[in-house]
Amino acid sequence: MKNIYLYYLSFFMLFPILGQSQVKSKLWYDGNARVMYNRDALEGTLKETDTVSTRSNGGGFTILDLGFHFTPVDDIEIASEIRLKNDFGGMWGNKSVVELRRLSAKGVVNNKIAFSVGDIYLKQTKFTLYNYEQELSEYEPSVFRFYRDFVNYENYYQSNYWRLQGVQTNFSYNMYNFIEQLDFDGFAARVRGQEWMGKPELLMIGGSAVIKSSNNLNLGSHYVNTFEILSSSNSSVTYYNPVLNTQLSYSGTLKDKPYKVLLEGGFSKRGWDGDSLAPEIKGNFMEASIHSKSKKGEINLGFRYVDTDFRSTGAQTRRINYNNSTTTYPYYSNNYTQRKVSLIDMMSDPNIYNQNLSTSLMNYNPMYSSISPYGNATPNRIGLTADIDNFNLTDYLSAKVQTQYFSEIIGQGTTNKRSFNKSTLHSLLSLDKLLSLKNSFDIEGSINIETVKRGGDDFEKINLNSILYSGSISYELMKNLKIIAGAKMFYAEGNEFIAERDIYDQINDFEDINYDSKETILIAGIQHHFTEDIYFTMQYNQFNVLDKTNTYDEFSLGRLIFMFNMNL
Amino acid sequence: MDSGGIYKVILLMIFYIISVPFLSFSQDNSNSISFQSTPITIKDPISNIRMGGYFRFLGYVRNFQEMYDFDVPNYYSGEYPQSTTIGIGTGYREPMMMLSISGKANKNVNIGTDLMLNSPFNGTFDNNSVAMYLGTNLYSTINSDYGKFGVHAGGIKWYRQSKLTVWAEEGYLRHSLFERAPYDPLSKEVSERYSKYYDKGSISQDLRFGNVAFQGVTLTGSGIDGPSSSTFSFQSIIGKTQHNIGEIVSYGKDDYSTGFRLNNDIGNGSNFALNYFTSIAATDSVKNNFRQFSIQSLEFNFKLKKLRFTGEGGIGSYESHITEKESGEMLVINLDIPKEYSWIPFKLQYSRIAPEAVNVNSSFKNTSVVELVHSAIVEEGADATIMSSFGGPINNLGYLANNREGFSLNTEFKIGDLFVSGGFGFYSELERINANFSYSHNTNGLMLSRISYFSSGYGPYKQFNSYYRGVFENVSVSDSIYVNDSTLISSGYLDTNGLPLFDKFYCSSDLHLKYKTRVFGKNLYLFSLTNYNTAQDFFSILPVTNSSAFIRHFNQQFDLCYELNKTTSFVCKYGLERVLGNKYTDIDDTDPYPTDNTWGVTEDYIPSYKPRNQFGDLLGFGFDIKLNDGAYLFLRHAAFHYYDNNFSATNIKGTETTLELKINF
Repeated sequence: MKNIYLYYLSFFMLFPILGQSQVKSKLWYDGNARVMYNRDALEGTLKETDTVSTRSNGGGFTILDLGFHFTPVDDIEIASEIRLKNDFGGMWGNKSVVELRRLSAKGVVNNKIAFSVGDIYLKQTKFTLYNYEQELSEYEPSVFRFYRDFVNYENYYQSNYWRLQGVQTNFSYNMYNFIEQLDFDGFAARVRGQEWMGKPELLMIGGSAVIKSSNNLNLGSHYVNTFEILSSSNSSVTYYNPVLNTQLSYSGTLKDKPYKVLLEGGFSKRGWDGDSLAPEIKGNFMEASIHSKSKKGEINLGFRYVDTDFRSTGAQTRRINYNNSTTTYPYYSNNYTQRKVSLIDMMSDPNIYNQNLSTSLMNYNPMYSSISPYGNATPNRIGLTADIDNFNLTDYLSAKVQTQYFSEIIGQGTTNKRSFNKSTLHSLLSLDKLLSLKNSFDIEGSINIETVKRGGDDFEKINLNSILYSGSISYELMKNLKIIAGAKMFYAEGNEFIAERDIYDQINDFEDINYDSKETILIAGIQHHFTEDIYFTMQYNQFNVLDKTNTYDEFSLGRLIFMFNMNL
Repeated sequence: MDSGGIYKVILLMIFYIISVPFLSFSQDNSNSISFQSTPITIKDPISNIRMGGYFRFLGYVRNFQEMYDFDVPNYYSGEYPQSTTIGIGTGYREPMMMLSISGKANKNVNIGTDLMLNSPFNGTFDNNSVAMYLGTNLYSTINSDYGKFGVHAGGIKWYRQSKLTVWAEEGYLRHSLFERAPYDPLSKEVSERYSKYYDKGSISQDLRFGNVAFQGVTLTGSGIDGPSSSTFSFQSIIGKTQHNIGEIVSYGKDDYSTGFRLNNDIGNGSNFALNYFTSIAATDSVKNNFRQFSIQSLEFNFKLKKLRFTGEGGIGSYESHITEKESGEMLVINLDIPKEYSWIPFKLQYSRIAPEAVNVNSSFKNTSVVELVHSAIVEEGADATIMSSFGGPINNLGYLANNREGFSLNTEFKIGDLFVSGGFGFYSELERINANFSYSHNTNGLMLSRISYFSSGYGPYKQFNSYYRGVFENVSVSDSIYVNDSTLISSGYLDTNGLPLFDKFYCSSDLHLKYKTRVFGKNLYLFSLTNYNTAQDFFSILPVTNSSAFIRHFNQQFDLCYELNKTTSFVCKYGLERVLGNKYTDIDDTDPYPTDNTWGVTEDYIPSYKPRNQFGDLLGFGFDIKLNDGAYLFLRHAAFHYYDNNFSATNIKGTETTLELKINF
């Protein structure tokens, strides 16, 4: 019975579309094409000691994602994207696929109400619905960008939007007094469809109302609820997770310097109807930040508090799924050891990434990210952030700096709380400007340091330090053709307690894990850019993963890679 | 969802329904950006995508009046089950509609791909398919002060480098025009296919003609200044050719080709080029085992007075985990003698390709390395098919093979309206490797290949091996022969290990006549193509005409095209094929259906104890009808018969009518 309301909701949202009549279509296209070939080969001592794994493994594909856009009437567009893919080594139709990658329609009814339906990209606030970047991707030197582009594109990561299937509408109401504009937005998405004799249908609905005033004061309220439909399965238990977020912002200038103050807060509730064992937890959050901009750069200071029991499906779903198997050498050594997800996979393997919203907290590896594994919505955190962006020290040297200090709100398994520190620095040195060279010559460097500490007795102490050094150099040999090289070195040392959670996300136990890892990534090659998004690169990559805490063999890999990326 | 949630949904819904009719919007006047949960746009549109292609409906009705019995263990045994076949499409992976899509991302970057749309039109509607036809290609050009460079990636790209490295041999372009391939282009005029062939000796061919299918990365450069006003150009590949896709071990294992050509154009139509090509394949899962062949060569093309020398020489090698690297020489020299020196022009060719020089991607056939013969793979939509050995191929003139040295002479001249083109060649094997021969059927090859697609060992004597639009048979030289029906004596041709005690010699010859006249004021084109090829154990300049040759293969094809009017041509073909083996080759001494009593055939098979004595003929006629520019209807009817007087179970006789409608768009 309950989902009848949703049917009504969907119907009325779609009603404006149904009223349109078909007239002569106009058709236009867009798309993306990519060719990628790689050959991975074992290197180092592993090549001698591992007599079972293949010495090398290669593959690749050619992809054309062709977008068809029909505009049957003004302000309405029907879009589909067809993927034409053939794997490297498949000829005459073998290993080739033609598949539908996207189908949607969008438009504006009577020049007033915008709507989207089908495969849509949705984002709301950082606490309600937000797709956070994968860990260790911030401040990454640009020579690694092609991998990041590839991973994000294959997983439908467009900025911080989640790709969902459903309907969305928004409209604005302009006024001419104190309130300048009222924005309304609503959506309904199908997170998990009906499963025969399986789990109930999981839906997400959301709505926003934003008031923009004439004195630069904005007030917004955002609501998201992720819930299961009881009658869509034979289950007697249904999940629900409403989250409400209210934002108040003010923009102004002080001594000719623009600034923006943002205050936001909200609460969540999460539980399972029909399950007497399932707890209903409620949590809240609060964030305050001030942002200012000058010719020299941008500065942002913030304070954040997120309750231990704050749960938000839309904001706490992670991109990387550590339970996924790696594509490159998922098993290695004579013991047929399963290889864990490491930095090389996070950088280059789209198959370890997740495209679906998760109703429970996903696992993470504290070695790579402890301070905010679930982004700003990471529960049980209170602390301060500060960052300076686009900091132009000279005309040839610029930098970005970020520092964060957080603490747990309550201790996990102990009364002592963890404290977290993160500092990040990125700098770009334009040697061509410094040395008055004709061709571009850039050096980039970044450092990312993260520490986790907890005091107390020996059995509860935590001391985990990780650091990532990244650097790159690119020199323009001839116009748009660059010779590039880059390196990443990651070190992690110390210990941490990993929480083991039950199906309700409640902590059952902790596993004490020691870390002593070193990972290295080296790349070198050439890259030619026709435009920002049309380029090809040919590279040799070398990867090394050494975990000194166990008896696993050091994993060393060399990769030859070619990629031609083209945005049509 | 609890009751609170439901209420919120209802409130949201009511608010939405109520508010929409009463809201007065003025979005256009607003300077503020509205909040919305979806991005305004994902991508920007482009308009420069083009589509083209063709529609090709091909329907056929085939009826076998005579057909060999069918015996597949545990599947079916008995009379051939379907004497009449009504089909749509030739049965090969050929598009009923080919949709070509090309786009331009910016002025130097292009993309192209193609789709294949097929329907069997069999009344069930559920076997329609959309698939990629060949593949997707990305092209780019980079113009610089140093020259013009190109990067291509994807595939299939049709690639050629040099005759000894990467090339699909075209021969001397002597063939019948009656049968049409799906990729044959449509002509502007209805009889242009025939008139062009008469006038120029060639017809418009698809892009793939003479090229090898390649997937991977291609780098090219041209217009690079060299010394003494010469210019350099280069082309290189790294990836997979059509022979690197067998995935002998498993997907992803090493099986790659690499090629490079550096050409120096010194002007006056002369050039020299350095070539390199190598192919390596892992043959076990860990990659401890492998096989690799490489070619290094120098191409030349220059004139001495009016004599033009062209050709290529170099070194080829082969190695594997069980074979030490062995290298051998390769040399192909062509000398064009114009009619100023002799009353008719001649083309002389000397070739010598050592058995160690192996390359399955070049214009010559590999006959020496068995492992590579077995990797001659044709992949057709599904898994690879491993074809059995070709043995020593008895080729038509112009088609070379390794482990051979030989000489050929060709000429082409005109007497009035009669074009005469022909030649002969003789070759000897350099090393004794095996005692097998093979030959392809010219007249009925297309018909026979469509009985069982891409198969090895079908037919009553398991003698047929089919490839794309063709069939070949293997012939072995026996170690013993019958002096009567029961007494065997040694043939003296094989040792106790089955290895040959004789040298192989091959002769081939062509005579191609093309004549044009006018009958009742309309153009009439007549073509006659004669091929006669032999294989024997002694040197002979001309093909052998008696039974001392192991195999004598004769083929005669007459083609006729009569232009009925501007939109219709009448076409006709008669083909005749004879294959004769001598007494030292395979004889009919075995019942092809030894278990025939299980399926009710009671008569005993009486072997002839005689070698091959094959006849093939085909009589066909049809009409080429131009419906409009870029729209043609091709009608064909053919009666064919293929039988062997001595292998009596080989008897295939039938007719086939085809209707082909092809429309370009």
